[in-house]
Amino acid sequence: MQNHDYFKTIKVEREDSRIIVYCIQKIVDLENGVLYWEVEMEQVLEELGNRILIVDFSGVDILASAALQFLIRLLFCSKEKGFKFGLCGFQPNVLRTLKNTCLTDLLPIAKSADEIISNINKRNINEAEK
Amino acid sequence: MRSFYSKLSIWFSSCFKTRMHMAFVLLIPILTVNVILLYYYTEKEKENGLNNARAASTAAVIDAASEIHNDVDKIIKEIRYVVSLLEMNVYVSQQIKELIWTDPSIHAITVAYEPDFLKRIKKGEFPEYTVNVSEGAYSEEISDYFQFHAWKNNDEVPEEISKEKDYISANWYVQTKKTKSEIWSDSFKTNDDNDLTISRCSFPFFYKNVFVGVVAIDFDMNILFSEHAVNISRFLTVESGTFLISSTGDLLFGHAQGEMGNHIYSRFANKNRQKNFPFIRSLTSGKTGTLSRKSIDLFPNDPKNGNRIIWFVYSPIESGTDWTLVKCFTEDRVMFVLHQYLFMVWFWSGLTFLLLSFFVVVLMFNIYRPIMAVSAAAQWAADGNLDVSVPLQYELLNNPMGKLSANFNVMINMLKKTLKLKVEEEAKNQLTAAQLETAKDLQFSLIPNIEDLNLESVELYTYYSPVHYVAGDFYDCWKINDDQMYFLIADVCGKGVPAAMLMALARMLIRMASNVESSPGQILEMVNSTIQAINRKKLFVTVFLALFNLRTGELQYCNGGHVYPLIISSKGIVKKLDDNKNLLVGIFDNKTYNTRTINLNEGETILLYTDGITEAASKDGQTFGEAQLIEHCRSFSEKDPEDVIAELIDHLYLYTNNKRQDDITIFALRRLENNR
Repeated sequence: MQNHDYFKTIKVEREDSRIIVYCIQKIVDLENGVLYWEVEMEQVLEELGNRILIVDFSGVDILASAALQFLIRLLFCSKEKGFKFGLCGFQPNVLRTLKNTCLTDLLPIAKSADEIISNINKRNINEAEK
Repeated sequence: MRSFYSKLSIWFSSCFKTRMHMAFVLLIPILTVNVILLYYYTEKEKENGLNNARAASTAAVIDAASEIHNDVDKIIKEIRYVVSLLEMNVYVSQQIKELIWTDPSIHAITVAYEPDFLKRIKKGEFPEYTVNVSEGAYSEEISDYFQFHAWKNNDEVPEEISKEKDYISANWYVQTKKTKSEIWSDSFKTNDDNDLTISRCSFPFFYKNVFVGVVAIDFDMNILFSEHAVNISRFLTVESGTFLISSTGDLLFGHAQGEMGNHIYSRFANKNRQKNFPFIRSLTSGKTGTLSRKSIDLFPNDPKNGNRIIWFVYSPIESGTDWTLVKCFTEDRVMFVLHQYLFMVWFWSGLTFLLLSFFVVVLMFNIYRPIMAVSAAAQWAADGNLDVSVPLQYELLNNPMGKLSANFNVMINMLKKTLKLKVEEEAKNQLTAAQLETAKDLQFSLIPNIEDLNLESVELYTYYSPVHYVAGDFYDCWKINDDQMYFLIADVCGKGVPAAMLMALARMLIRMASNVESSPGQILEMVNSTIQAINRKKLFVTVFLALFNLRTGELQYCNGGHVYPLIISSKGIVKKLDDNKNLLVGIFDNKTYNTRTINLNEGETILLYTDGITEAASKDGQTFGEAQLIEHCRSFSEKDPEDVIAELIDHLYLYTNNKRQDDITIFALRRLENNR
């Protein structure tokens, strides 16, 4: 993926390309970093189709308000387009920011990518049983 | 330095009024240098050519002299054998005749007896000695004189016995008898029809140490010499000659070609040669060498060839002879071939120069001149004068140089347009900057003037610093009656103009809602609904809104997703006001915002701030953090709050190395103690 001064990302496909894990490796609190991130995410979303998107924030030290805005847009986008996504790997201070804003109540947040996949699988089973 | 070269280039270009002028000025020095070099190498080549010819001639003459010496030496050895046979009183006529027959250069051999020896035999001395050259050739009666002679005559070798005394006075006999050694006598011409040139070598022979007589061998110089003459004449056969002369300058043999060759031949053959060839002593000095003479010095009566140089190369022939082999040639004939070669060099050099001149002229027209024009125009452009263009030569437009000129003009036009756009853009930027400056002033005017509030029971301390012209952060405070006042701090997501616009909208909505709603939570609910309804870009704002009772210290507050405020006691104890959390404002519809109530004691301070402080990052990416902020806040009880805030800001700037990334806003309210 891209490698800027502002941020760096790695895209990994798992489980027969059913899941895309999108790892952010650098801070994204800089204005330009968020802009690049948005552009790249838009491309990822275009290519996503029916697959599951997991955004891994384990390399992120700071999440500024502009980045929060993008997460909110991602939430709205998932509802609009109907794809599933999850966020994981938040460091404590980043998680605190999300808690302050109460976004933890709305965003699908887990500790790890595996947990998100497990949750999604469980949800799929429940939906199938219903 | 580059400027110097550019000026030099322009000056150089300006020196030439026309292209032909430029071409000639450039070509004349090249031509001059070429001619000087050619002349120098021509003279050097001439000198080398003459030296080489002289060296080759000398080598050929030395070789030929050596070969002649070998031939003569071989014959002399055979004659010595004949002499030894005579001294052993053996018949030798057969050997003599075979010798004459087998060796073409031997013309005749004579054996002459000494009359004194013959008389002693008559008297009975040496009874065992027989005066016999050939068996039966000598009669029983011994005469006073005896001579045996054999010679070559066509296909036979006749012999003759003579008893005449004429030989005893002959020079060759007398000298040999006198010196008792081998003698080479002067050459002479035979008087017969053969007209041979003969050179005679005489050998004495003895019996019991008594002189018996002389054996004389006649060499046919034509035959002896002609083979070698041909060999040395292979080199420089035109106008040259090869001569064998004796120490007295007698011509023993000569071979000449061309006018000058025959000239010299006739001089050598001339009886007055000593007079004509005053340098003859040099030739017959017995050494190998070369010398040259002008033709006029040798042949004063031949002015036609007066300035021609004649070279003589000479080498002596050993074998006891006084012969010298001389090769002569004229210098001009030697140089003729060289001159032909040099002519070709000059011819091709001239032709090459003409071609070069042609190409230089072509280059001047098609390459150099356009380059100079472009260079001069570029210099003008570099000096800031963009009203410049290169004159186009339409006949050159299809070649690269023509295209260079045309493209240069296009480039200058593009540059002018770009500069014009830049100027316009700068003007536009200045206008934008002015507008932003106005927006900034306007935004600052939205910040309340604390002194206008006439607060007695509280003190307010604020710090407000946008990272750009305008900020997304804001704070506000206003009294709704004498006892109550609202205060808030908010942070709009993002920065710059969009954030500032939402900030203005949010501020206005909050103020308006405060007129109709009674609690901070209700106000934020109303504001959230209003903004959410028009918020297509999903912008949001975090707000901490509080309604404070100035008299009782009651504090009702609602935190809409903002960072937690800090409560600092009069003793410096800091605690976070984290018991109220609500969603950020402006995104999600139908959300409830709760209001909490606490009491702010006398001497306590509530500090509101934006995340521009806690998330300010150092160079290595470490955030300033809540802990450092709390540490600073502890000193509120000891120091003037204004100083504490100033120290905090200084520390923050130091921490971020003056590279701020977000707006910073601080709002602090301290409830004063009553006894103060």
